[in-house]
Amino acid sequence: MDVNVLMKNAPIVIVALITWGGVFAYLVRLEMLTRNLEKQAEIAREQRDEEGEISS
Amino acid sequence: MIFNIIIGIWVTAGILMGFAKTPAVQLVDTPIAFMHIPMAITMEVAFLGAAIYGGLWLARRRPGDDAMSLAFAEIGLWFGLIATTTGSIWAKVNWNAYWSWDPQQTGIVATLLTYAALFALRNANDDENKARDLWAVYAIFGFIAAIFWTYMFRRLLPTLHPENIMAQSDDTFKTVLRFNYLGFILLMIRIVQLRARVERASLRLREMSWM
Repeated sequence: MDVNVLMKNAPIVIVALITWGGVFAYLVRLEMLTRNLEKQAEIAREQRDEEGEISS
Repeated sequence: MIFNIIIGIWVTAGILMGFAKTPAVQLVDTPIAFMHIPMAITMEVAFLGAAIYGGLWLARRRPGDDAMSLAFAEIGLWFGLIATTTGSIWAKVNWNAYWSWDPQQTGIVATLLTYAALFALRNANDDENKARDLWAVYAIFGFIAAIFWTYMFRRLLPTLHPENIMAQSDDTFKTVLRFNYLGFILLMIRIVQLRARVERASLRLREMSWM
């Protein structure tokens, strides 16, 4: 490993890190979307169970 | 979230180490190989995962296995596209052309087209269980096709791609490359897990809306 090599590649390193940042942001957003959907599915299941108890 | 942070630090460190490494044997003047090669390997691992979960769906009939198989194949396709793009940048620097129809380049395009066709076939079927059964077979077939196109095809024809890079390279090169393999595989597995959870939650919501 050589810091001088890293500095020589600085412009492309910045592009690579920005691209990776975009992928990481997608990962975090996907996690939030997943939790939100799972919460909605759980609420829908509870509502269905409650309606089932009332009708019986 | 902790897993995401670990992956974030791991991949960032891998990128920095790759760009700080002096070129290795047969890899002239570009560190992008530290992304291109791990991406291609990760694509193969993802397609293997799709085939394994396809087989599990056939054996156990659990919708979660089908969701995992589909997620592995989808994410594998994306990693394959990135591997192709980074590979053509590497080719421009080393071979003076973005695309030369080298057997490895042709092979990865054939692999990606195979999976694109398999996705189209799955989506063409309206019966969900039949689509899952067919998909499981497609996923197993797709992995066999991927191994042929990306590992065997290049050995049948003369290729510009460097051979035995790992064996001829120094220890630091090998370590950084393996570090990046693991980082990208962890990233792929995390995205697949989340993608499959989205699919399962959507399925539960759809099932409840029908009741």
